[in-house]
Amino acid sequence: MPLDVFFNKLEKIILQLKADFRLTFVKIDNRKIDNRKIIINNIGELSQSELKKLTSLQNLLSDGLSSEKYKISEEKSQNKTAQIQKTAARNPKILEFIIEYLPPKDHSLWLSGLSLREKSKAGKQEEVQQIKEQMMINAGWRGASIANLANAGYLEDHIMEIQRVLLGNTDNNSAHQKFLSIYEEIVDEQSFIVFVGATKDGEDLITEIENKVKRTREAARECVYIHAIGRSNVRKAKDAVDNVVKNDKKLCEESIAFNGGNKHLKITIEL
Amino acid sequence: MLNITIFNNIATKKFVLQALNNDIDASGYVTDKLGNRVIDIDGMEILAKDLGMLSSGSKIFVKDNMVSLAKFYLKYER
Repeated sequence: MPLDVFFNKLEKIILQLKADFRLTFVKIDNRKIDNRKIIINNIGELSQSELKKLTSLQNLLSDGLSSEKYKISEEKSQNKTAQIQKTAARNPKILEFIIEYLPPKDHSLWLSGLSLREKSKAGKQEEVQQIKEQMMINAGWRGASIANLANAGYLEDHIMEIQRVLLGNTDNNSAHQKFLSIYEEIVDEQSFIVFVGATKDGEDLITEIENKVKRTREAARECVYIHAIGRSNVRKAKDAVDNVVKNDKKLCEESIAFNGGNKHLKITIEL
Repeated sequence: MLNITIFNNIATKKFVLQALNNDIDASGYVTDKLGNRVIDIDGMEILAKDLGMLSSGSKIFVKDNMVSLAKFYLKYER
């Protein structure tokens, strides 16, 4: 059924139902058929007998949608999609890198992670937490890991840099495989990174940092990075690093970088 | 492209799903016209309460989850 015919029929039904039902349909016509939109409000408020009278409407939808391209969504999903589109538009080169070099299973996680970082930079911590939870629901530990890595800027600061050094502009398959193996190590094990969260206590944190220092040395890497967001985590991170550096004479340098006052701390322990 | 915005409750979703020859089973999962549970963009069965988006073509069901919606965007809209 042509879209115009569909909308004409829809209008007639709406007019018939208007007096009897709280159900409302809104048609937004910006003089372009492609922009027409139907909003279906709360059918749950209607009684069973009222719902029965809506059969004609359901049949019309059925006919109308059978030959049309459509997208049906609820408002929360529309807001999320709008956020995703904005993030993608603001980060075209990073997105290009993600799609070209990272495993396909991670593409949508990284795009979500970039959205999370935008919310974090805007100081919207509640939304940051919500996106991280959704990433964890979707991909478990890997989702949480990519959320943390994206928020701390690891994609641009490390992963893209590692890829650039390993591959340059060449199309060398073995270099790409090496890159993917390092990438997996970063995402899967966060082998040279410690994220200080609220659930980690002082002793656990010291042990985790010491273990990361040991593994990083074994892998002949140069640095361990410790990230903390929020006053209490920042204080915990500083205390733990002080302890580790004091007990390990080979650790020769420590640099501390604040990002956003004292809310976001990045400590580098050079080995 | 016809955009339809639906209210986020089960009755509204059921109304629209039935118009598309789908339904919701006793456990709350979205089913096809034969009563088999449909598979969403993440390769999982999908509860109607989690359904955030549905698009035409080969009828793609997407959860109201940032990562699932990002997957749809990257695959079909970018």
